[in-house]
Amino acid sequence: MEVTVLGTSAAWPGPGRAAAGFLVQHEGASVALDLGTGTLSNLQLRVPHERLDALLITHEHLDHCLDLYPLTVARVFHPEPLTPLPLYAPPGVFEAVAALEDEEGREEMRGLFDVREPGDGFEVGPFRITTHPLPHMVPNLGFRVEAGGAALAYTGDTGPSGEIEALAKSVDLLVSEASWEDDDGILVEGHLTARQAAEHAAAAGAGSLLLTHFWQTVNRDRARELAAAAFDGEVLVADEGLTIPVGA
Amino acid sequence: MELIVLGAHGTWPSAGGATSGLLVRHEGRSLLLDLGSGTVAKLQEHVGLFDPHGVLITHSHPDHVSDLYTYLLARLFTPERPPLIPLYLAPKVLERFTPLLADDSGPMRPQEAFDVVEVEPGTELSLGPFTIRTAPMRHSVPTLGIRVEAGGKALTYSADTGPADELVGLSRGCDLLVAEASWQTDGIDRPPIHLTAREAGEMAARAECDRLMLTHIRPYLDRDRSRDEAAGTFGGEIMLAAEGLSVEVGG
Repeated sequence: MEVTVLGTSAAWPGPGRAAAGFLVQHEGASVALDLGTGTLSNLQLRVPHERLDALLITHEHLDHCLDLYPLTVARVFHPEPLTPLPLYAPPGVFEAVAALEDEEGREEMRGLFDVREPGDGFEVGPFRITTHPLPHMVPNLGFRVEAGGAALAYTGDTGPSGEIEALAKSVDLLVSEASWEDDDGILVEGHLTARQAAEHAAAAGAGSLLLTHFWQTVNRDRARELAAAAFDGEVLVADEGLTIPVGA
Repeated sequence: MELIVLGAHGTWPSAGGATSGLLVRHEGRSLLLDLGSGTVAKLQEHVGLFDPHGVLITHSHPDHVSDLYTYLLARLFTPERPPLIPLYLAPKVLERFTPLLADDSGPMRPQEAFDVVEVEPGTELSLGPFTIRTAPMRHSVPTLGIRVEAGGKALTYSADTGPADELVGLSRGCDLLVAEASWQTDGIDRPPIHLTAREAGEMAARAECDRLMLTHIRPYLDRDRSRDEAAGTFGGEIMLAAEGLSVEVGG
């Protein structure tokens, strides 16, 4: 299993960056975790959009799902008809993006996606996925993805929570939001500092930690140092286009 | 006057690309024309995030407006709140865009980041060194064609349109016509809401424009073929829009 970083920015992307998104691949199967602005473009550098097997969205904030819209249009105009793409997300995600369309357009959008209730877990091809609600301003699902004996966990947006440990118990890689550099940088509740992300990774016994979802003012190198002080495993900083083997 | 392409693709972004967006610069002042998916990230590769002095959205389709949401977030949530700049909107843009803001994220009104001005086609605007003329294009929603003049040079941006005498009139004699070329000539009968590359060439020829830049090309089309088609109807220089391309208008 490997994960490719599609976007690393919280709220709005910096120069050449994109908002939240990851692509997880194993044995030719591909699922996307979140699809913020700019990520559909980056996804296609790795796999044709029509080859996605499922789309998993953590929550309805548009920095995690806005490119669902261009994906919709890409699927409408695809030269061959496509079967509806399974979309697993908390309630409200599809509607948040479909708000761009009138009723007729929303109906067409509904036909392009197979919106599924994630429940506690589900399977997509070789991937076994379990979900854990994590505390944020709106319902947010952390996803744990396992395949080929490897496991990764992705937080989406979350504040500090014991649930992160359950999500990431003994995973090879925890992909954690780290919106803020340190306590002084906290602008709103419902997110983690780099140090808090590391403390959760340590408590969960994760092998490695990938920091992502950085606010524009965060110094990413400094975030890595702060996290490394609280976690003994490898600390990586997400960067658009970076591909990481999981559990290799 | 300089034109920088931020997003060159129609409808959805290509691999590594972005949908519609242009940045026009002259003597330190700049104007954004459309903010499609991915354009805010591209913008910052050329100028500061808050350097533009105005934004104009040509119509309500998301491949021209979705990153307005992203830009609004940036302008609202940066601690040193940048000053309000004009946001010129075609009819129906605000109506379609506003439901996107209906989450719990607090004061997400465009009016708190911009001086919002709704623009009827035919209106003339002035922003710093730029004189901006607008005309109604022929599309599935109300759409503004844009002619920008500064320093004695003129460029016209078709936005999305089918063949239109209004576009020929608007772009008459300009140094550069940036024309959409969503389609190629392929015998498929489609509603006249976009141009083929051949038709884009015809518009440029009839308006006696100096140069033509094709944009809004669907990601799956062979771009060289689009250029060849346009060259069949327009004898001047033809460029293909690409993310990051910078052109001196009238240069």
